[in-house]
Amino acid sequence: MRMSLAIIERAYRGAAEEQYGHVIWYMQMHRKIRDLVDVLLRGNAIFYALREQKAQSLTIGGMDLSCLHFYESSIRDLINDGAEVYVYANDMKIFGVQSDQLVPGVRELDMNGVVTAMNNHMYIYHY
Amino acid sequence: MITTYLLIETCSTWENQGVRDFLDVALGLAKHEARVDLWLVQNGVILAREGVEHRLPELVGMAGVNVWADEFSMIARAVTEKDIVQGIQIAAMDRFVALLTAPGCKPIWH
Amino acid sequence: MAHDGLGEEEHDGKRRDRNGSKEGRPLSILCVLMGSPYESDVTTTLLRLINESMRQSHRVVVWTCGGATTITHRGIGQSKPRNMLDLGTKRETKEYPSILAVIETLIRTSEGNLNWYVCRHCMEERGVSDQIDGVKVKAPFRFIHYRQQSDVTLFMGPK
Repeated sequence: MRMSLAIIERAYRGAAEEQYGHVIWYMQMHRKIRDLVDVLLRGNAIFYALREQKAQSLTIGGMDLSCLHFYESSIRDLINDGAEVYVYANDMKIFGVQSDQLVPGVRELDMNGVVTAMNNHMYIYHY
Repeated sequence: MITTYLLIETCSTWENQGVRDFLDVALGLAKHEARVDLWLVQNGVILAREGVEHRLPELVGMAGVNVWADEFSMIARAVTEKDIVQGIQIAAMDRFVALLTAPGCKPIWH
Repeated sequence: MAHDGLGEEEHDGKRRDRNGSKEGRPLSILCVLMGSPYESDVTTTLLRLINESMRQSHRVVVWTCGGATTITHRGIGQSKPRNMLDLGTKRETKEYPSILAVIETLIRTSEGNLNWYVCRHCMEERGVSDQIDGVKVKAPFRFIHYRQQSDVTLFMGPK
């Protein structure tokens, strides 16, 4: 039995406000305090798991915001830390995302897989 | 003065069912020969992906309609030029400000 | 007396075409920010819009309502909390500017071309009355005044 499953479906919120502190960072922090969370990406959040993303920054009023959300590196860090990262296959189909576009190590789940994952985790959170 | 509707869509259909209604408004305006600039920004750029929302290719093909996708939002959401419906124009904030301040602009945010 | 008819409004006796902008003439843009921070990217979009509008020599008026009144609350401070993932790395002492610091910088560098107003009702409702010096707190009905004075008005985000 694995510990926690975070189902993330609300995506891309507060780039200027959060900067480094996005939801995947939050998952990394959970794991640091020994809440060993795995992640299931759904809806708009499936794009967090794409590879070859581009990082970008903003300059507002001359002030540089250089640490805006960059999900690919955080997803890779999660996987390297031993987390399971899943993407809901049905949403990939809806948005036209192909398997070979995903960060290596990310696993596609159909609904049966989602049910299995939920059965295999003690705690389930929705974000 | 001719009115140009600047319709700004910030959501994808996944998170907000009302997006389809808003796009239907865009279609309705265009069918009544209104001038429409549809600006896809934030999660709205996800709609620009080929095959996601059938109303977009329809809008792109209509007279008096421009469909734009905000480049900053696209990069943040890993949407590239080759992913999007042909005819959607990728643009930056300078274009948005130009549209917003053009004569007759009526902006509506969704 | 100003009226809300189509096409033209009077203000202080001067007739102004609503949206009657000629190409290249600086305009007054009113951005009404309704959306709460952190819930979507609307605050980020607003900052980008202000930045570019001023670069194109337009004047910007921001009116914040609802949860948006919280982003100029003094209690936010100048820096975000420490990024605990930076500990033990070469970024350990890195500071990240808060959204408040970004807005204060924008206002400070605007040379008077950015005016930021906060709705008193929404502010008090959310307990964020301690606002920074660079913004002005106004009664809710003053919003109509700023709309009448602006060449174009953009409502951003659900309340």
